[in-house]
Formats: sequence, C-alpha cells, structure tokens
Amino acid sequence: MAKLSPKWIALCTATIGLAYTAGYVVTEPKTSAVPAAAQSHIKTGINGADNKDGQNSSNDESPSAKKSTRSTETSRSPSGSSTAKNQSGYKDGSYTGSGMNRIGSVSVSVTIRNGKIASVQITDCTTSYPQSEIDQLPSQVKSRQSANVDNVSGATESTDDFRTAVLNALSQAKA
Amino acid sequence: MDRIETYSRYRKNETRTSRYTQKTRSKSSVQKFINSPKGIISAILLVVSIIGLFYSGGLMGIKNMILSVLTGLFTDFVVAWIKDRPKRFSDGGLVTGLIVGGILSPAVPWYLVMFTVAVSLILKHILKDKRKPIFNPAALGLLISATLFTASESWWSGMAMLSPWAVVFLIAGGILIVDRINKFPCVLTFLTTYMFFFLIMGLLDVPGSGEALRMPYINAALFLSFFMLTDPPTSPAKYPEQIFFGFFAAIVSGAAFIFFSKLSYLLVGLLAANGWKALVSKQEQGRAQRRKATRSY
Repeated sequence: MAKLSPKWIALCTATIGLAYTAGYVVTEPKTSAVPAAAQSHIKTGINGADNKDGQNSSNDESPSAKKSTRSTETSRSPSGSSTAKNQSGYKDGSYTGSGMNRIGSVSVSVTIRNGKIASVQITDCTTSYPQSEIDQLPSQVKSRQSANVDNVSGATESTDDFRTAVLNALSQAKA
Repeated sequence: MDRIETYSRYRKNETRTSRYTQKTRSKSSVQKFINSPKGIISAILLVVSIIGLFYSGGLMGIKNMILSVLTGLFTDFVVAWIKDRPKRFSDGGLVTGLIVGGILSPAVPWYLVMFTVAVSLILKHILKDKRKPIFNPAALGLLISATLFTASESWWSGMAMLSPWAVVFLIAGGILIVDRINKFPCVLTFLTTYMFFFLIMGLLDVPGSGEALRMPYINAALFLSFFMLTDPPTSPAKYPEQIFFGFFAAIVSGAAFIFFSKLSYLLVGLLAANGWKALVSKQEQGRAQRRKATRSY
C-alpha cells in the first residue's frame, strides 16, 4: 500500500497541534481554578458560620494553591507552624484542599473538631497511580495531628500531592 | 595415500565452508531482526527507555525492565516448548517485555512485573484469530494487572517523569516506527480525535478533562499511539480501517477517562479497538469463505 502523502501528514500534525493548544488553553484556567474552587468550598461547616470565613480565606489561598501545583517544597514550610498551632490554632469545620503535580492531583477533606484534626478523607485522586497506594496516609495525619506523613515507597509523588492537599486544607482552618 | 590426503583436504574445506555458512546465516538472521519492524521498535523502545530513566528514582526501572524482558523471552520459550514449535529468540516476547517494563512504575514489586508479562504472553497465545493475537498483549496484561492488583503505571518510557521537552525524543522515535510500518492514518486519527475530544470536554466544563492534555497523561497517550496502537497483528492494515480504528480507540479512551478509570483508560480504548478489528476480520473471513463456496458450487 502506498504511504500517506507528506502533505497529509503535515496537515494532520498541524491540526493535532492546534487542537492540543486550544484544549490546553481552554482547560488551563479550570485546572488551576479547580483546586482553588475546591479549597474555597467549605462544604459542611460544622458550626455553620465557617462558610463565609472559608470563602474569604480561599480567596487568599488561591495563589498559594497555584504555587503548590508546581512545588511541594514551598508548601512544606507551613507544615511545621501548623503542627505547632494545631492545639488551638484551627477553627472547627470541614475544609478541603488539593495538591497537584506532574502525576495528577489529590483532593482531601479535613474535619476539625475542638481544634483538632478529627478526620481526613481523600475525596478525589486523579494521579496515574492508584489511590490505594496512599490510603494509609489519612490515618497518619489524624494520629500525628500534622501533615507530616511518611513518604510511601514507590508513590512519593502521590504522597507529595496528599501532603500539599492537607496543608492547603489546614491553612484554611487556621484562625 | 593420495586418496587419504585428498579426502582429508576435502573434509577440512567442508568444515570451513559449513562454519562460514553458519556465520553468514547467524549474521543475516541478526541483520534481518534489526531491519524488521520488531527489531526497529525494540531498538527505539530501548533508546526511549534509557532516556526516560533520567529522573530521580528512575534507575530502579532498569531492574524491572530487565526482569520483564527476561520473563517475556522465557514465557515465549516455554510456550514454544509446550507446543513443540522451534525454539527461537522471541522478538514478540522482547517487545512486550520492553513495553510492560517501561509502563509499570519502577516501584512495582518484581513478582507483579513477572506476572504482568507472563499473563500478557500467555493470553497472546490463547486469544487468537487464526495465527494472530486478538488483543495487544502488553495492554491486556497491564489492564489485568491494574484491575486485580492495582499495579501502578508511570509510563516512564514515555518520558512522563521528565521535563516536557523530553517528549521530542518520544515523538522522533514514534515517527520512525510509524513511518516504517505505514500506520500514520491510525496514529494521526487517534491523536486528532483524542485532542478534539478533550477540547470539547473542556469547553463543556467536564471536570478533569484538562488533565488528559497534560503530563503524564499526554505522554501516555503518545506512547500508546506510537508503540501499542500500531502493533501490526492487532491493528488493521487498510487505510479506511486504520482511520476508524484510531477514531474508535480515542473515543473509547476518552469515555473511559471520564467514566471509568484514569489509570487504564488508554488500555481500555486500545483493547476495544482491537476487539472491533478482530470482529471485522472475522466477518471478512466469513465473506471470503462464502464467496469460495459459491464459486466451487
């Protein structure tokens, strides 16, 4: 069979390139906005009044969320301070956060009761690794009352995503 | 005495000739393999895998790669021995081993790597349409492994763990093999449909659609389209069929990404298209048989 003409190949490649660029541009604000939106949304504030505060704090958080998509190093620094303050530094409520890097994103929901981390749930995991790899991490956050979880061997990037997500949620919970 | 000398000279010459013939034969078979599509794809996969290893923790991938290639060669050898076939070097086992080793995460335990490759190749010999495998062996093994044991896939051979510019090597290698096996319509249709599908999903605000156009998913899509979608026995040769094959694989992959699994959506799309191809060739065989029967009647 005769081979496809180079003109057709060039035309199709250009179409693919254009469609890719258009898709990238169209979806870009959403990918960066999704974590911000997720963080801004305090779904079920236990004390009801947290909703407004949460939304306010989320507006402040969105740039940091964007930063966290590229680097987990910068988001690790608040972890120490949040650990120190978590005795009385968190407001009761349910907060969500996301972490994203090159392997995908992880979203978590953190519930604070009496100033302590009462529960942590992974609400979404779109990494190229299965969620089961990091299923043990929420219990570590709860027991340590901190986002400083152990690195999961073979799922370091997923662990980083999870850590960033918890840090984002906890930073909203700070008074 | 003369007779004896003449005979011994003759024997010596014969041995030399047979050695020379053996050498030429073995040389020509190696050359044949290198020039064959499987030889070229093996060489390209090896090169992209070596480049893909250059990330932190990537060196662990060498171990899995070697293990998966050895398992592939061994499994095909055992199958040949059981079926009483000539025990040759299995180029199919090598390619499947390289693909599986390059897709599974370097952190996947050794037994899971071996299981994936062994299942891939055993099913290749079981699920057949005449002499051709129905499904892409590596895709089938990886899907089973991901479903049963949630085996992690990092697609590191697709440069998914490197900087975005590294994708240039993947594209260059991909174009080489696609041009050699004349599968451009299939690959171009797949990629065009894939890009437009996620562009439309993005416009419709479908959550997560943007991720399919970003690393590591886009690298996985490129790797699959160049090296797995184009597998000659499991993909069609005719251009119109190649176009539908690529389109169907991309649509099913897109739907699987949104509704099923972000871990193995590409594998689902590819296997669905393989199934469609097998169905079409079965229908063609039936038609050909009917035509033959009518003529002989």
